[in-house]
Amino acid sequence: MEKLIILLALFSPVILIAGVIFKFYQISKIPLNVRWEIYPVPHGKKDGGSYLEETDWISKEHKKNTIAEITEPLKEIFYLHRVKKFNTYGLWLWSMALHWGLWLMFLWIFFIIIAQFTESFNLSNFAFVPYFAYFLGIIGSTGLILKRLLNRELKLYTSGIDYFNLFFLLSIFSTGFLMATKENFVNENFAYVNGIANLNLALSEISIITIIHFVLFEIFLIYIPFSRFFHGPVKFFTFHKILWNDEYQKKASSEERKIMQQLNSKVKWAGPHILPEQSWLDNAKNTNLNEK
Amino acid sequence: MKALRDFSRETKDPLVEIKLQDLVSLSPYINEEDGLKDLSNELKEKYKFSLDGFSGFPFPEPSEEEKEKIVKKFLSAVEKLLNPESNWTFLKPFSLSLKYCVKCNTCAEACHVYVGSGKKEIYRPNFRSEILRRIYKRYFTASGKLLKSFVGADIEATYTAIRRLLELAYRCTLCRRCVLYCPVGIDNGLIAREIRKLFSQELGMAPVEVYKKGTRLHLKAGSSTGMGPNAFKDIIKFIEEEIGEKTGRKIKIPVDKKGADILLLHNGGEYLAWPDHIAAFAILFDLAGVNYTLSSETLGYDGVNYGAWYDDVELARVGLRHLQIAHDLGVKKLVIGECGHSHKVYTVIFDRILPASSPLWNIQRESCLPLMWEIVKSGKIKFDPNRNNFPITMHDSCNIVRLMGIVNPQRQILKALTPGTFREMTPNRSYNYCCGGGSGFAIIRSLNFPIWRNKVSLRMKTKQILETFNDVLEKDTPKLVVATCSNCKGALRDMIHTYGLFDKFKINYSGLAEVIVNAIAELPPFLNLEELPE
Repeated sequence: MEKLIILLALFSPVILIAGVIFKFYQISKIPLNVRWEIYPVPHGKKDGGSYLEETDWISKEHKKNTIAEITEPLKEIFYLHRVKKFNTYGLWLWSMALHWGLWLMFLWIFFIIIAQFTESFNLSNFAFVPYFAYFLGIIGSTGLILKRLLNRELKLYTSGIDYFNLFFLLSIFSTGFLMATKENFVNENFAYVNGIANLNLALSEISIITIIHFVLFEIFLIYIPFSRFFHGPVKFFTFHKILWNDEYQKKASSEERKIMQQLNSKVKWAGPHILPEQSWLDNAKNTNLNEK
Repeated sequence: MKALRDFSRETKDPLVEIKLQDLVSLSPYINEEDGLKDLSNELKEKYKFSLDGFSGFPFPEPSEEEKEKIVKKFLSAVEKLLNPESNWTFLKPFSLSLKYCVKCNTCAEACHVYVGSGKKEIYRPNFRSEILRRIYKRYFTASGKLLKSFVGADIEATYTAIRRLLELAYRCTLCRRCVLYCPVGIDNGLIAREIRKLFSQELGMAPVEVYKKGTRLHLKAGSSTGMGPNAFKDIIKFIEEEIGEKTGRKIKIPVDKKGADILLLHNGGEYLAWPDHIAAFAILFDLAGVNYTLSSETLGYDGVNYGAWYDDVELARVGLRHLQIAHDLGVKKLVIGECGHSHKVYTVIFDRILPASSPLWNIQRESCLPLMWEIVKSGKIKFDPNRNNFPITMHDSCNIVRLMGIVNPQRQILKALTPGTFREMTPNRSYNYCCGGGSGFAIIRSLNFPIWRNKVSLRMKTKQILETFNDVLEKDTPKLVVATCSNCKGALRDMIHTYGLFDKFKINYSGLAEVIVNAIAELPPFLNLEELPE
């Protein structure tokens, strides 16, 4: 049993990282799409203006506010500002609680790991972090479950898997909360991670609720890249690579090479105006006015 | 609707009923008559109105055997939408939008159709995406096949569902306002476009006005209006005469001038519906000494590209020909006239349709708006802003503002050429509401679709315009709505007629070029706001 738990604990972050890398690789292998940005882009003008507002824009230099490209996602990650501003179903408060519960839970794990290497780091000084994490997480996930169950419109779009995901998070936070009610939970948390790091986990010295909590957390890590929880990392593509990407094509660039290649892809559509099995370029050149 | 899977069930009545009392109220400005006419039994029997009681598709009902074929083809098309070769153009944003929506429904309030309809469920931006998402999961994912409704793979691809989805793809104007609201960057507007695309590129199903009388006619005759090169040349002569009569100036509009700096590409509809708009450009460019030309080549005088709304292949075909014409003329730049979707197609989308080393790509593609602002501020022409001394507002074209970031030149022009009478709509700029006629809605005339468009789709913009002029509405002075897009002007025209905005409140509309020319001090006033411009 100990071996199994050690293996899970060691491999879950590895699978998480490998899974995220694999997913990023998969998405980046998707062909380069046509430009499809939406304004305002954070690195552009605040009023939504772009370099296309100028004549001869191609021969001019364009200033980019790269800091805003970094700070804008932070507003979403830590404040969910679009949900706050636009969501009319009252999801913001619960969603904020859930997300902050997650961030603080990860922060606590980070602190436990730091404490393994730094003797002067007193983990007990940060014992308030998991309390906040689990409390917020429970409030957030419960609130979202209730919202989705009780609001007719939200319920229409919520499937079993969405409830499963929320209950899964609730179980992680709840077991964490129960664990944190034990007087010596900080020592237990330290001992658990220490046991994993030294491949010598004394299960008999750790409470069952702590073990359940950590096992659920480790399963969660494995689950992230292969589930809807990946909606966080995927924003790198939806925002930075698509909606905020207003870069125009340059000669001899990798984009140009991709486009040249893609124009030779076969068009497999079967509509009456399509020349099937011919390339995109051939289809574009031929109007095919004598369609089927 | 109790469950989304009901979408695929055959029902006696449409899924929703549109009633006037449910729609966003235009009171106290308009005392609306119902206007949502009942369908005749003959029409009801002949065509399908199973979504919301409206349709833009005069397709006869297919036989049972044909229906089966349609279902098979539809599923094959969904697969092609997710194939890197078949859909390289949009696969990345489409597949991410399909897979990672968290269904928070934050997008809902962004949609002018959803809000304007009184929040009918089927018009929610996420609704049609969710229908496609669930069909995709059910037929193409292992989790969907195994876990079925638990993972939301519960919509069956019946003919009924497919027919409704076709209709539903044309209840979104592709304005993409919802994208600005989404915390994950999900593009429901794009999903609506991709649904349109799968129907067109695989099943040959698209509104007659955008396909047969749209891109096909454009490629065949030279213009989606049916105008051939000779008719174009005749209209140019007519416009030159009109300019002479109106301004006393003899202007020769340059056509097919080799080696000009600029090929100016207007929306072809302008020549027939609003020739004054073409005249205004001719006057402005002539006075400013712009070295430009128009083209009389087939397609060269109609800059529309309806493919942007429904079909990538048609989009590429039309676009390629426009660039070829510009190349053959030896111009340095293709300048897009006041046409929203054409702006986006040539400056944004075509950036990645051709490789950067291609001679066609190297023709600079620019909006007319920055050029017009340069002319206004250059001092070459003397303007009298008092000529535009009436309440004036501007409708932002989604394509030009939200999808391209051209926000300021048009505002700077209006501020410079009015005596403080320009007022913004709320919301404006990137957060503007679509006119309601975008993505082809303004030209679709089949069956009872226009009633739906006028009553539902144009609704929020109508309300917004009335609120913008609220303090002067009852005054007997003309009020002007400026739109820098032909399609938007078409929508404004329909709105003004439907709600009697001109007769009741003297609300008129025009393009931006007309307002500029109206302020040219050395010429007589150009605008006649006492009449509607057609």
